[in-house]
Amino acid sequence: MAGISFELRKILKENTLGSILKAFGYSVVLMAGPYIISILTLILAFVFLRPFISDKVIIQFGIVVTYLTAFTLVITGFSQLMITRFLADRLFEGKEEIILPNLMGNMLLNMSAAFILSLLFSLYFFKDLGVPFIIAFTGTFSIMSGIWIINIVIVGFKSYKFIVFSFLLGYLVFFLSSFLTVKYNLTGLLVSFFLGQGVIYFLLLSYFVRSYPSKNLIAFDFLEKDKIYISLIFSGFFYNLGIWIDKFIFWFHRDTGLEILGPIRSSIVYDIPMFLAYLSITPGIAIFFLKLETEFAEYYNKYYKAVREGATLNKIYEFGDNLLYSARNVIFDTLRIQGIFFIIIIFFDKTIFKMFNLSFLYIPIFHILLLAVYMQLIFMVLLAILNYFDRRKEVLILSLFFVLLNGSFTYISIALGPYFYGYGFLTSLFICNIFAVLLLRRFLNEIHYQTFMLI
Amino acid sequence: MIEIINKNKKIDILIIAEGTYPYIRGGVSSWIHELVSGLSDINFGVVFLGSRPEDYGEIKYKLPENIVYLSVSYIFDYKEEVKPKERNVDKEKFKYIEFLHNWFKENFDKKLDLPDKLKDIRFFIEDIKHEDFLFSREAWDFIINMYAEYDQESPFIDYFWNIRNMHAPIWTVAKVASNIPDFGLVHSPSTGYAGFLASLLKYHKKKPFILTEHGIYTKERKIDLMHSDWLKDERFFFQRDIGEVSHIKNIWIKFFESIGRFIYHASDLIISLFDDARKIQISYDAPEDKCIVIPNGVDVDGYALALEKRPSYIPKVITLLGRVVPIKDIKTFIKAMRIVVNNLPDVEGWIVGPTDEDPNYYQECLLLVKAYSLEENVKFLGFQNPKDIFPKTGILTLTSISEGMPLVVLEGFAAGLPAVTTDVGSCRQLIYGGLNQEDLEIGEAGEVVPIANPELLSKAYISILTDENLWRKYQLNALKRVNRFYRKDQFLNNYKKIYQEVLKSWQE
Repeated sequence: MAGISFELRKILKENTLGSILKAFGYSVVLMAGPYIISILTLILAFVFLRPFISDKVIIQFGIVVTYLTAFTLVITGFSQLMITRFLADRLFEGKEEIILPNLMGNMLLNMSAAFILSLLFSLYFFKDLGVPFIIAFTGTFSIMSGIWIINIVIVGFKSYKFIVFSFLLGYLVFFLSSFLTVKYNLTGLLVSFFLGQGVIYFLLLSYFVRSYPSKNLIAFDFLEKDKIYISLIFSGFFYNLGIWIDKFIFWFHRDTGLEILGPIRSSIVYDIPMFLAYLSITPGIAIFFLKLETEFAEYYNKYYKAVREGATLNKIYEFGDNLLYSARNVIFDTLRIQGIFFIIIIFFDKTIFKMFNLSFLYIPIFHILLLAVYMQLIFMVLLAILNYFDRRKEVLILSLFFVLLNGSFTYISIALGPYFYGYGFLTSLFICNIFAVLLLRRFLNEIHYQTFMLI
Repeated sequence: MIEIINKNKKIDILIIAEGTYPYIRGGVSSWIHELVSGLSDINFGVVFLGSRPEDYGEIKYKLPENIVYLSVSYIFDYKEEVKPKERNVDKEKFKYIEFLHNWFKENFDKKLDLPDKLKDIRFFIEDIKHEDFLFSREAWDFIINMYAEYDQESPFIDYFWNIRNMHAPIWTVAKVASNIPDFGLVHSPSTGYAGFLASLLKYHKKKPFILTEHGIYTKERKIDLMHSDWLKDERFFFQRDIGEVSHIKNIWIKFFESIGRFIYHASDLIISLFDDARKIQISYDAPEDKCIVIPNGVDVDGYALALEKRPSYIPKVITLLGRVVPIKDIKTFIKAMRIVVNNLPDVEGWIVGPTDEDPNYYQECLLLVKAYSLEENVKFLGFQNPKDIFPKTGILTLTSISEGMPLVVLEGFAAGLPAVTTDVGSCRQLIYGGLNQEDLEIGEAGEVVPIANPELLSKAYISILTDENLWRKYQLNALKRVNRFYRKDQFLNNYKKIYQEVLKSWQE
């Protein structure tokens, strides 16, 4: 994250309202840019393609894309935290030349697994849809898995402009080509989407190869047991599974899910408000990223530098207190900023629903999910801080806890009836947050003891 | 702890070697090797205490058959043994640490033995465990309180690691003690951690403990500490008084002094190599009635040929046998040679010993030889077999500023060479006699002069080389003394007798 943190800190140094807004804008683009671009393009495509195609196909396409996203994220979850940490450790050791081959190796592993799984899946379930559909489905599934892995490392690069450009270009390719392929219905749209994702993937990949030149192209050093942390493999997987498990349950529960395409099911009552709710946390993510990578990172470095370079205990305590306050600030500022947006959105809920041409029936569950994703944002913040301090055990416990609670509470909420939809997700996050705060507090209270005695 | 050899035989004598035998060559290591090889009918066990595994290579000696047990432990390698994990200690048990701390503070100058609880290894293995000291919250609180009270201006990370590195080996040593098989008697050739292990073993196994000190460990550590760079005093000039020693250094010194005292109290017999060393031990609170002197011995018969080969005349050669390093003060020898050559132009000075250990110093010496125009008279011969050099030599000399018990003087005696040395270590005792009345009556076997004094040194050389009667007298006394008191078989017999007596009196 070094490159971009430095850039953000430089902007903030100007210390004007304008510079704060500018830094905030950068964080929004960086953290949510690709996400917003993809959603907006999809919505635009739906609007423009409507005259040429039935609503049913459009819905099918939207849900297939959702599935592609969800399952590639869960599958690559095993690698996400593990490989990030592995690469960061190697960079710290100054071994720049093994960054590229190992990322390629990891990406290859993920993409092969994704390819085999999706091929078996589509050969079994989609054989009636024809070979072109199967190719487009497996292709997109593999390429998206690759994109998630590159995305992890590339966020830290200075050239966020290039990243945003790659996504813009990729979705433009999808948008334009879809007018040509729309006559082939669902298969046609998926082929266009595959094309767009391919453009993004190869742009990011080429950028990455240029940034970390190396003699070797592929290496599997990250498979060596003493160079990685096994717990991170599972934390990454549990966390991603936790985020999606309530959706999975809604899709596949017979009370809430509808058959869309073969085994692919969806839950309109849950998916549409959830989709809107996720859009609402964009400002929260941006401010959290900004705070964490500037203020917090600075105090963090100051503290550990004081420890290493022989400060007196008084100074170490002073820096420790600052670090503690800044951790608290990251959490509170995210809470505050997102809180403001939360209230604004509640005020304008009807306007927003009218704008998207959605039924007001969804509004009560939208309110619950709005609160739930707000909680999920806070959970992200707490996990990020714990990861910063390398509290692997805590992160593992919390992500496992999250999967179990979210899964069981969601199941119960469906059993309790439509009035309780969304409450499972919300309560599980609420409990996880309390638990995470307690663990974080327990660590920060004895940070000096932990730093000196337990290394 | 790794067992390298265990022949499952009864161990008569267990030797604790701290950073020496059989992994590192040197004075103490050779001494152990001679002792063990010489007493081949006794079964020995060796416990090697090293710092970290990477500091040592292969075994450097051909181990004698009678070493029936050898184990290796590393005292600064505690991370391998216990994994860091947060923990709490029973507050009641930890109170004893506070008590101990106050006890040391109040009683340090009273020269008492340590409290009995510390003599029981169960204290280190059950009450306050190694991981309690390393990882517990109570230990952390204690360390930061001590820092706040005594040393809050120095870098905390230094303070913390010094305290940790100082105390952690105690637990490693206690663990080693609990894993050692039975033995008849424990013999440690130094104090320090080896002596501490021997003391714990004595109390744990209820067996006798003999200590032989080659140098004075406590004193050497003190000198090391005073000169060490790794304990920089970071305080600002005005923050300390002139000559004030940093708190951490003080703790180390007191730590070693306390351990030394504990070991002196634990040992049943304290052996030094010469009488001045015995006096220093007593000044460091060794109980006088336990202190005896057993000098090293040389293989006198091995030098018989060198004695036989001597020419009838006295060779006009003065030989300094030693490494070319500052502690041997070669420069003073060169200066003295200038004065000798002024009076006796045909005298040569040979410097026999490796020159590659301190190349800069060697270069300085060469320049000095050139400046004094002594190229014809002073020669650096490098490493040579002493038995070849002795017959060609008239006087054996040492100009060192520090020595323990230099065996080379005794070897020279055995080859019929008088010696002129500086007044360091046991030199006075070796040359003038001093073991006992009989030794004194043998008379002088050369001369002893103050350190760094070329004038007196050259005077001694000239008087011996120009007075054949004096030379003959010194040679006679040298041969008498080495044959009477410093024979290797005597040295071995002394230890054999001591082992037997200590074991016998212990059984009673």
